[in-house]
Amino acid sequence: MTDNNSFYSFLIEISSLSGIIPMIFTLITLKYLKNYIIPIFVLVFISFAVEIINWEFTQFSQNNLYIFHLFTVVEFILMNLFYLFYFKQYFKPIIFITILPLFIIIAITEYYIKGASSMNNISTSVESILFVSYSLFLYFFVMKKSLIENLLSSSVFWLNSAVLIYFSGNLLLFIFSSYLAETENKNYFMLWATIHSFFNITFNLLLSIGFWKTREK
Amino acid sequence: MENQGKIDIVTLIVIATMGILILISFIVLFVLIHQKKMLANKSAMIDNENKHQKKLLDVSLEIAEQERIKVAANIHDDVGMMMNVLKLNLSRAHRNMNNTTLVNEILNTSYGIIDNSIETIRAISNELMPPTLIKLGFVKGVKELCRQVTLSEVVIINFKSELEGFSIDKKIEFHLYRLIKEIINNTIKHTKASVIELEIIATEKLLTITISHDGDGITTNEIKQLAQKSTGLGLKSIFSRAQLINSKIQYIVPENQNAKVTIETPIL
Repeated sequence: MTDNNSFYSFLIEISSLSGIIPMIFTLITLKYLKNYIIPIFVLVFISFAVEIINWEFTQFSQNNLYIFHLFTVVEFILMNLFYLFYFKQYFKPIIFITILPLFIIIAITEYYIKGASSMNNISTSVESILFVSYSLFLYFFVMKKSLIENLLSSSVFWLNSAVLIYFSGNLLLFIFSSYLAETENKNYFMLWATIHSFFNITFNLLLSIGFWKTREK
Repeated sequence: MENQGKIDIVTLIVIATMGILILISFIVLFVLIHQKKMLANKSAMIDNENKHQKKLLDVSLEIAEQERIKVAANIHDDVGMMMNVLKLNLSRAHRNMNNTTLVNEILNTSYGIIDNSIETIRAISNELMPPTLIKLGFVKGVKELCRQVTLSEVVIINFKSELEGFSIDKKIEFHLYRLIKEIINNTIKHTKASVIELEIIATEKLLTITISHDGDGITTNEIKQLAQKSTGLGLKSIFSRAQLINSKIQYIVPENQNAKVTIETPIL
């Protein structure tokens, strides 16, 4: 049991530290970043800061769930801006502008109804569904318009894939997070941490590739 | 029981998450493969378009070459031969200066040869660049062409247009004139028509020429197939010329109506 807990803790730590990798790549490719990638650039640094704060709070057994309420909103705003700025090149992205305030309202409503000590599963679930939809739409749009010759060389493909894999993989976790949090059995938390860690590491690696590909013309 | 319910949910989450991961992987793979295929198709289309353009250019060059050969042959065979005969006559007259009757006869024959040469040179010049087209403009030039064909009594051409002073780019006028001439020639040769109606109308942006006749009609697809199979330049030159001036040619065979050819040319 103790060995298992150590292993899961190790995974969580690796997952948290994996946030450094995209940070390094953004700094290396800073001068190549296009305007629509800047929100993700900002998000990478904020994510890592949240991981550090979360770790600190865990060390002192402090309640850190209210941080995730705030972080979810910030994450949504920045990711939404990524899609908004990207599609703005081709058409008026009214839907992205409209959804932003609606999501903020949902997040604030959940915060006040459920309280700061609860999991924000509703806003994270909604966020996941929206970003899975955005990312699939981006694939469809790029294919239909034949905008990109070589997808594997395109930064947008890798960034979009990162979003798709992360949010689709974690969707069920986010939906059931509140239910899982109610149980006292730590195994549920470890399972949650394992799956989330896997997708978080994958997310950070794909983001890193996406930032690296910004160097290619 | 409660724990079993919770365990079931955990199993459900794990299995469903793996299922989603597999599905997403397929989606990403599909996007990559589809994009590659689309680009390959696009590349093939561009290749085909380039080949088509090259073919049109080759036809245009061949048309120009054929015309040069025709003019050279006419000058050599007709005018050249007449000049030689004229030279021989003048030499003969020079040798028989004392024989007034013979000299007069030779001079009369020579006048006839010179008149024929002038006519031949005029015909070659008209073929190269019709004077009515240059002097009177496009619409009057076409009207004159219709009049000359009608006079030949092969077919009657009724010309209709209210654009007397109308003019566009000289190059376009020349190509349109040649197009109309080629279409009229083909109509006479292949459709057994007795009457041709030729109408020219223009809006601000579009010049439309309609040639309808009471003979056997042919559709655009049929004529394009004929052009591909044919070894001659006539049909190919029609489409080649049309493409040079961004014109759209359509061969239409409406039910219970005369067959017609429309040429739509944008006016800049």
